[in-house]
Amino acid sequence: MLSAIRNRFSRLVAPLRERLQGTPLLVYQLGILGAVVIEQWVGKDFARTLAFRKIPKLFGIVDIFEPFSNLDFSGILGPFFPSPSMTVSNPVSQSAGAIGDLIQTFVNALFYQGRRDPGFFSVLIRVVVYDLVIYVLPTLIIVLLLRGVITRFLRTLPRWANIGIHLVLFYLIIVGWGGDGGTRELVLIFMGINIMLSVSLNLVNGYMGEFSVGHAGFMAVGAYVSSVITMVLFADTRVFGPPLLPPEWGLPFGFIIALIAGGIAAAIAGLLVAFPSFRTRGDYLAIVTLAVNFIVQGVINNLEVVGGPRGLNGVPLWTNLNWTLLFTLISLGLIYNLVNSTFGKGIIAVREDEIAAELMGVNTRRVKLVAFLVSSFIAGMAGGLFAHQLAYVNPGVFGILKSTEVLVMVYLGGMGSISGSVIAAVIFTILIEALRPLAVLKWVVVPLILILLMIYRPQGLFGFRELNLNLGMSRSASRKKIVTSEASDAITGD
Amino acid sequence: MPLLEISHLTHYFGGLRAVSDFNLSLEHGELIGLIGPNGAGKTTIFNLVTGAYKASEGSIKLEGQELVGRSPHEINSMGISRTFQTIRLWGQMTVLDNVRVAHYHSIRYGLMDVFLQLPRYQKQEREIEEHSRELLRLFKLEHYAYEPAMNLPYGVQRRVEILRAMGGRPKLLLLDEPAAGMNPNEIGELMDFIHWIRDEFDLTIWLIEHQMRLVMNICERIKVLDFGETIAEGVPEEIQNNPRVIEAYLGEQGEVA
Repeated sequence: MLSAIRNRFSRLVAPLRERLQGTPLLVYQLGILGAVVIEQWVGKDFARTLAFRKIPKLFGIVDIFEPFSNLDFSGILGPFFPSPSMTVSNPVSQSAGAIGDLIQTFVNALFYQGRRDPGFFSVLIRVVVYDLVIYVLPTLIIVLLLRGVITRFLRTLPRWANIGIHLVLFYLIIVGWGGDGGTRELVLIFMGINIMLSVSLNLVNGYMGEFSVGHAGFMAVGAYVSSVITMVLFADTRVFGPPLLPPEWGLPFGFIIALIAGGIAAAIAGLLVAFPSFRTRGDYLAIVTLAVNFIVQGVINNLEVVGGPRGLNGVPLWTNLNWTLLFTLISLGLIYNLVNSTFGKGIIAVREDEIAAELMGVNTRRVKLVAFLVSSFIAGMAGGLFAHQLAYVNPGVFGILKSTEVLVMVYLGGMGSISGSVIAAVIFTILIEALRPLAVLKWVVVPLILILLMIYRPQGLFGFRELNLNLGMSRSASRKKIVTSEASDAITGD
Repeated sequence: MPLLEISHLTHYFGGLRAVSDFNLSLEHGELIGLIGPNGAGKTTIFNLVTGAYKASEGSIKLEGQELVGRSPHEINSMGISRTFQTIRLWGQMTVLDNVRVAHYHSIRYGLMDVFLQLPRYQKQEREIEEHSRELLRLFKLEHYAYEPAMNLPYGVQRRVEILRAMGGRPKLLLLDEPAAGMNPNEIGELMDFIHWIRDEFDLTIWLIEHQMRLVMNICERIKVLDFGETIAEGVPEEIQNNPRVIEAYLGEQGEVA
């Protein structure tokens, strides 16, 4: 049935798709920018017209799940494991009653739960209408109007101007849509941090073919080192006392230096994995990475200077959208340049056949060292941004759960694909945000996605290939066409 | 001075003596063969020369420089390149990238040059790419440039492996059973091909092969190995009529009847 719906849908949009074939990215960017402007202008009023109290959060994805926030699963198993003070006479009937209530709440959540709390379907329909009117239609109209002009205009631009104009528009969209200082900005910041984490882990797991499961450990090192630096030097805190340097030096230089220092400290921690990787690989190295994650957590837990298990409070709130954007783009640039160099191809050769790589002249130790160092360096910087966003870090945050989150992003996006990791980090961040009303159920949904992914699309969204962005450059200005590998299809017979 | 000089090379796997007192002197431009029954220790010798195994005893000298104790990538950078008995291309990488990586030892740029795309990086990458494309053109494989190596037909993969070995501009090329799995027609082409690369690239070639037609036709000199020991050496005609070689391959006379 699903495929029937998909077929009908694709037939419906086929003429549109044909019209839009070969439209450069810039045109879409302009369209989205138009939609962002329209939302600023009439978004609030239109949301009120649709009986929303405010503009739907994250395209309404959050609002859709809001009705389910009343679901309570604790009654099902609770009666079987009562607390000592409670006596439960008949756990089976109590549990059955709880299941009945749960079904009742669920049905209510779907349809109607009172005048102030609309049901799921009501929200869904209004969200779709809002998104269509505010985002999709304006974008499409602008795209169809400007298509020809912009395509011709782009051909006249040199390469640097082309990339520059794309970046400027990208920045305008991000700041225009998300620079509200509220939920959107927060989500975008976490998105940036997640992109840094997943792309850096992909360098090791995807490009080099090792299986690192302790990425949060490097993040923790970066978070703590950069936090301690900024707190000692630029902030008046209870833990470290008055600042050593005038606080106004903190931004921008102090922050940049602290983040880079955090990255370097994380890279040094990365040596803990890099050196064992000379001797062992595969499952055994995975256990080493796991151990490193626990070692880092254990060390921080026992360091009273930084608060031990209580955590570190009073980190300056310096991370904002601009900083995140800057460091995310730098990280992407570093990794992109690395994996496209002959040196970086050596990393991939190690994945494909390490012995052949060594015999064909690749210094496999150096290549592994660089991959681990760069990967943990970027994770450390991400940790620094993370700490300066929350103002509070504690070792519990950087546990195996965080490492698993990063792994989910890498495998969702696909091994050996930068664009895959970026898209997966974006999807994952939004998903986590959207599932927030479901509380603990989130940790059922996310692993379930991973299981389904491994069954139906083991190579991830973009396994071993990159998204080809149409920058609309003329043939002479563009470099040689990047031909994406079809290898993943050959494996899966897709 | 000989290009490659191996003296008293001996190697043990635990208590098993896989190669014993192997000697060889290889002059520049030679094309020689190493044959012997299965398990005679031929591939072990290649692995010793390329540094995959560290020799138990003896010495291997390339243009007077000792190779024993050096790591495989170092030995590769000194001018020895090889192919493998079973194809070991980097399957998911394109043919062009396979050849590019073979230039690894000629890289002189640092990590910062990569990150910032400095001129030094761009210049060297351009040279590597040009040389790779030149090789692809010479090997008439340019239309496979963007194809992942694993998708190619078997015979083409064999050629790509030799192509990749040429990426590092070797002085000595070791071919480990280049004709394995080929039909008589393909073997004929391969013989011309091996002659051609030797002349085109001014190479010295040392090959292991079971296909007697190929060995007897193209090798100028042949060494025969059995149970790790050299049992015969000479030009093809001598080898063909050598009783010890016949014995090693067919068993002792009289035993069969």
